[in-house]
Amino acid sequence: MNTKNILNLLRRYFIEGGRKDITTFVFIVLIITLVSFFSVSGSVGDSMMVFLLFLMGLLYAGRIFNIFQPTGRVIHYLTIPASSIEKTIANGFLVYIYYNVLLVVALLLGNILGGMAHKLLAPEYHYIFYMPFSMNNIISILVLESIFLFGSIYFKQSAAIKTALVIFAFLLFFIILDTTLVGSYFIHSNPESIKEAETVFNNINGDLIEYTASILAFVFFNFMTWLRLRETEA
Amino acid sequence: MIQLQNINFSYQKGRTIFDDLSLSLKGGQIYGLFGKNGAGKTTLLKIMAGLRFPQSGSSITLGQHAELRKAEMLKDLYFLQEEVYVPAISIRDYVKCYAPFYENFDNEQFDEYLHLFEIASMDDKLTALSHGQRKKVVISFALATNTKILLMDEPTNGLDIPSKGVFRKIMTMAANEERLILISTHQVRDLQFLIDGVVILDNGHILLNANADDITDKLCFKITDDTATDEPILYCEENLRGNLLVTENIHHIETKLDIELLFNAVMMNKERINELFNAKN
Amino acid sequence: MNFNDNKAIYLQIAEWVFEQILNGKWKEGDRIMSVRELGTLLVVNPNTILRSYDQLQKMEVIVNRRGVGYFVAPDATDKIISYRRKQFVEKDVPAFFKTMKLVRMSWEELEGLYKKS
Repeated sequence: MNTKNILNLLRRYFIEGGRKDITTFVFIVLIITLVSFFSVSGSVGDSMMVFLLFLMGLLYAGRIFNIFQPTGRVIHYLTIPASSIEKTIANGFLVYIYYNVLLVVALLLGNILGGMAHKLLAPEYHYIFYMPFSMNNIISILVLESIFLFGSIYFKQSAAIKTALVIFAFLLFFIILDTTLVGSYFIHSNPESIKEAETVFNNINGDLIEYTASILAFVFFNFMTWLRLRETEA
Repeated sequence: MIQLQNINFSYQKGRTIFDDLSLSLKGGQIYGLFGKNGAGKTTLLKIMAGLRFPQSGSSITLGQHAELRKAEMLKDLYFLQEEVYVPAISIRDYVKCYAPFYENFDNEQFDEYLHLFEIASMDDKLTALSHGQRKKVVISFALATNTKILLMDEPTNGLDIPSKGVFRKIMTMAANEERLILISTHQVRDLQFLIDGVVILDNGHILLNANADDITDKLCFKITDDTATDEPILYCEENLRGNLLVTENIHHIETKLDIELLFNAVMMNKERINELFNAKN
Repeated sequence: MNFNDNKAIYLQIAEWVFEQILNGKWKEGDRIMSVRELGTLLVVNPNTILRSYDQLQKMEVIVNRRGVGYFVAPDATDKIISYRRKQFVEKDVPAFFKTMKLVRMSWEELEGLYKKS
């Protein structure tokens, strides 16, 4: 692995796509300003922000590889002199760090602009500053982004939408599994065993399991992205 | 520099493209790769560049397994596609983007090639240029990277008549003692005097891989009024200039290689050609 | 440059060099174009030019000074003329005589033509 190659890849990205990022950035700031200005309830605004950030992050991650259209582009990308791992790292940096930082800055700016507008136009309402950055949110967006990043190299066309559909299908599958299996367990067992199960659940450190699982998922999907890139033929 | 050994390749559902194909190419040569439509010329180039993976056999390029697409290999290999892809940026930005990946990229050469191709402005957006213009830019870039290997798929397709002349000229400027240039093409006349190695691909095999001197050592190419000759005739074609003949070179007369005639002669006498050229193996 | 002959290209290039020397464009003792320069000028693979230069060296029409380049030999013109003369006597003259006999031309008739020219 060679850092120079990674830097060259990033430099290439910024020359080719930098201008597009600025327009997207302005657009996001504008939306957040509007949301921040119009929302009165803190909780609604918060979930709205989370939703927006996720949407933007995922759309972006779902497009990052984007090498399959048109066909000439695949060869062009695959023959850029950097290894698959360097290309995966460069794209990972762009998705997990660069773009998320852009989103946070956009959020801050939007909040400030929205707040100023608030003070100017409706000073009687108190102003809410939205910063929905819990550990949970950060971890889930990173995991979801890693899935979308994988989707962007796995699917040849409209990768973001297809990845979203696949995730949706999986969720549906788990919900059905959950309601049928767990549901039938509760129906057919006596109250004592339910109580037992509850105490077991309560003793488990849920956060720890969630974090471990998330990190594993994150590593797994990035590994899959790298594998897929190595095995892409053109 | 390029070693293909016992390559077997077929597309998922399709017919066999390569059947136990072996080929070895060395530096300091301009090879022409010829074959009928669908013979698999582009696929062969892709296997060399690690863009297609053979079902079996090995493809070693610059000492590396091509399909690993290691950065060390890619740094010294340029694959010029028939339909070049360009991003929506100016020529100047294109160089800023991609030149840093190639250690031996030479800006002066690039400017000179562009100048010869009569591309004046570095600030034009690549996507705003015509197909032929884009190709000229990418060809200039490919040559200026000074990679050890240059694979070119139909480089003159889409170029206008004067540009084909310029292309030939800059190819002679870009060729050197180390560089391996492989040009896959149907446009034989364009490259007649550029090529010093001829590779003919047919029916999944390499029918011929020979140096131009080797070919004229073994075969005679002539235009005559009469076909009376004591040399075995491999191919004969009539046109206004007389009879175009390819014969075996019994009397050791050195004639001028005509790739088009050679191709036809090889296609009609596969076994005899094989005997003549691969006797050692 | 057009290569119309049946003759191998490297030989045609050698003859082109003869022309340059005989008509004084390349002077005896002068440095000549490098292999690559001539390749670009004639749009021919540099390896072919190299072969021509090897041939010309064998004929002592040019000399290679290592690290400096190729030069026209001091007596290149004489070498070329004697080479041309040899070719003329060995190839062209027999063919010429053959045609003379074929069209039943007498020696005197030929002499007359020669004097006129």
